[in-house]
Amino acid sequence: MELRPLVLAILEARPLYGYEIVQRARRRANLKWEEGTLYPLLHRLERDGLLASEWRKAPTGKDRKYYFLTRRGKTALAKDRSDWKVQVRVVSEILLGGRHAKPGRSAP
Amino acid sequence: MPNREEALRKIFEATGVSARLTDDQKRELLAHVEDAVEAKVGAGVPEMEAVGQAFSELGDLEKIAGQFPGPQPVAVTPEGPLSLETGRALTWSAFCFFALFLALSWYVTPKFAAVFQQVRVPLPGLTALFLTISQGFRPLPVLLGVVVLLSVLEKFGLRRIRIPRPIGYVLLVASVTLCVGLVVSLFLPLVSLLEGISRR
Repeated sequence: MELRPLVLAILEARPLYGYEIVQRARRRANLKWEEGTLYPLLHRLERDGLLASEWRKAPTGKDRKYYFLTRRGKTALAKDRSDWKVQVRVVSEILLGGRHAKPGRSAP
Repeated sequence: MPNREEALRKIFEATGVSARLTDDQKRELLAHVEDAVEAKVGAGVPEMEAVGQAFSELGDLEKIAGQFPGPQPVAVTPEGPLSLETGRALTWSAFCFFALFLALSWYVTPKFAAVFQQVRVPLPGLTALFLTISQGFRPLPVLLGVVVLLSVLEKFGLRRIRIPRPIGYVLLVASVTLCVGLVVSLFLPLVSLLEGISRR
């Protein structure tokens, strides 16, 4: 599964640090993965200019590295969303058949 | 809990992977494990079991370390990629040379200056110039100012600012010029002195 759009979408609302991102992914989509692999992805997205980061005090009083979307990140997220809609439509048409196929309808 | 932090750090160091990670990456992964352990302990899991689970959920550290991206190249030349990290390394080298220059200005230059005054040797222009520059860095407030400025830059600036390689080169060349120039300029009058002695 491509994690980039998920991470960008999770960070859309507000800056979060790694552990919070993992928790949100788990709560929102019951998504489980090797948690540590999130960090290379975050660093790659930061290197590519989609995210920026800053060490700040978390509500627990401990320093945590917060990530937030840059303008480029927001553009990338918008593109990921539009690409995803196209993919869903195409796959739905093929799997469910017909232009007006809706999720839950069985294939003919 | 400081004890937990320390214990987790030791476990992390023992994995042998930490050497392949930057301080920032290590700190971040450790913070993740710490948060996970805290959440599990809060949910009633015994501490040791929580630590085991947290590391297990983090995943294969060897694999994770290999997935972190390298420094971003600013450009790719026929000789290879130019890294912004090089700019930082050059700047640090420049600071080292500058520190050497400050040490020379404080401990060596005054002794040479005293000798030159005693023997009344005519000072070449280069020597006079570098003695003046060197004396400019001798007052304690100036030295402290430089140290404080470097500390502030390191704490708030250099870690976040990516220094382009040309700027790093300029700083390095400037600091090496100060060091080498000072040493050479101090020895120039000695050459005149030795020439005078050999003539007698």
